[in-house]
Amino acid sequence: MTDLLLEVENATKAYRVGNHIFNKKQFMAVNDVSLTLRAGQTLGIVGESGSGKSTLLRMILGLIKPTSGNIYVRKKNIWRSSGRDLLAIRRQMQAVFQDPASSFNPRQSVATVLLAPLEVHNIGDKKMRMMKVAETLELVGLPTNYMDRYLHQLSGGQRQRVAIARAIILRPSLLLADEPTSALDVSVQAQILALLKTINRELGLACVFVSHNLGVVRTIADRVAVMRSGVIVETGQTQEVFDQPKNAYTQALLSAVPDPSKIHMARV
Amino acid sequence: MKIEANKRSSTLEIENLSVAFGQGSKSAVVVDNISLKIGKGEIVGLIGESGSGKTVASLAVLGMLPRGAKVVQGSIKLTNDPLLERTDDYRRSIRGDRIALIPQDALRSLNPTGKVGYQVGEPLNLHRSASWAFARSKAIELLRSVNLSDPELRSEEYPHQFSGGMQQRAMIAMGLSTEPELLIADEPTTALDVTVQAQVLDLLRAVRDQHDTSILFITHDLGVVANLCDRVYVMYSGAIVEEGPVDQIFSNPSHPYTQGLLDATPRIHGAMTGLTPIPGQIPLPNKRPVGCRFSDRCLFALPQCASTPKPITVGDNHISYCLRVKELGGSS
Repeated sequence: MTDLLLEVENATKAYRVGNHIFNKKQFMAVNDVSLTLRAGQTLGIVGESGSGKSTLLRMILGLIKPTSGNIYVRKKNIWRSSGRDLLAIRRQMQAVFQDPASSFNPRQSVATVLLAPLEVHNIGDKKMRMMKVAETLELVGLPTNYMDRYLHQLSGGQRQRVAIARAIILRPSLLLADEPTSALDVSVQAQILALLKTINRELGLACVFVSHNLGVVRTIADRVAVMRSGVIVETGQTQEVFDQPKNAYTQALLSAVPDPSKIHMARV
Repeated sequence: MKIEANKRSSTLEIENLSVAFGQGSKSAVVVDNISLKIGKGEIVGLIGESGSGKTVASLAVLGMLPRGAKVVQGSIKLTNDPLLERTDDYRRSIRGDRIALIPQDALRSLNPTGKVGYQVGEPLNLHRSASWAFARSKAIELLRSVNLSDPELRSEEYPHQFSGGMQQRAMIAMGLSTEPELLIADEPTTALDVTVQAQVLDLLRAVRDQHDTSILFITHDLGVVANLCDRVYVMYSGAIVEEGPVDQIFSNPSHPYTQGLLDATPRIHGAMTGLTPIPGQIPLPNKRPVGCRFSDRCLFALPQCASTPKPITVGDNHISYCLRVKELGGSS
């Protein structure tokens, strides 16, 4: 039995809607969600826009404070930690976001981007850091001479590789990915998914992978949670959820996906 | 070699069209000698990844090429009307009348300051000199036909009050207002959730069935194409690499690029064997390999692939531009 890496306990995020002071109406972006993740596992979270999947991910990342509920990474409550403790937790988890173009400063070189996490966490000396950058670039399938390139010189797929390199350079135990391939073409998307799979396996990384694309989640996740209106409506092993969905919404979602293996009959 | 694409009369006929950006030695040919046909009442898919030239080709049909882009050769006929020989004024007059565009981002394409009903009816006033009262009542009818609930009320609202799916339906209603011969849909469902996408696709099918409208559907999503289109053109780096009826393209893909796209597409059914990525990336227009432009990423490339690809018939109306299709065929 591997140990529990991430525990989300009754996490809730409520936003007040309307600006009247007596208006107590609330919008539950995430409503009483609990989940766990073991080391090395990949959990896919699927849902349509507005289902709360990104809000949940941001709460785990520590970017949005839950209205109630607790989030533990290796038994440490991330919203009750501060200073050194919080820095240690943050080192454990890293994120990759959707748009590689807007998650970087275009004026920075690849090396600058990749050195930043090492500098923040004060790891190694200059020589060792550069070695680490080269080693990580190789791991994500980029030539080491890309170090001196600027991010605007790279293609979308290459930029996403740099984003992954930045996330794994600290050797975290948890990777949080929010639609990391939805801005990419299918041929490049398949490259990035294959890369994420290899890296997760080789580094023993656990991963929370948020996407609206059911096919993508199916290829990468061990377990899947389906979200709708802030609630997890179904969760289970990937194959089970896709082959025998129990929840009516999951069934509706799956049947709405146009599948290339189901060809409509052309009108003659 | 040439094949009659369809017995029905063609709504759109593109022949040997090339579009280039820039001039002289610095020019980049973005659409390179493509030919494409759409019969009346036919839904034709144009598949390609970003940078393949599919959107530029559609803009050439509309006469809306961006500054610096120029048609360097070829012809475009809309029901036998040679569009490239017409004046800009003439082409403007048929835009939104005989050809309508459904863009990817409906919200950015609607006027934020105009009521939806007004915008949906506007083409009728502009192109058919309809009175505003008539245009308005027609707009309500159109909004009802695209399954918008409460069209009387909704037509008085502004685009920002609509959800993404509703905005796209309003765009489709606007496109249909003049009953165009040709509807160009450029990734109209990419920004939508799958359940909403399914509704929009149903709607497009209904439009074709009711009005016999011809539809050019531009997308990178193979699943959508399999579900909606009658025939398919696959574009790669400015050129068409394969064309054929949808069932043949998917059951017997006859170009390594089409095959690669299918193998790289995540599925929700079937074996969980994972995806096979296509190595490398699409070349820039001035850095294409000589001959077959897919050859530098192709697992089956031979030295002969440096010669200009020729059309090879692989089935009924099914054409591949891969030199090795006969050897590789059937392996799929």
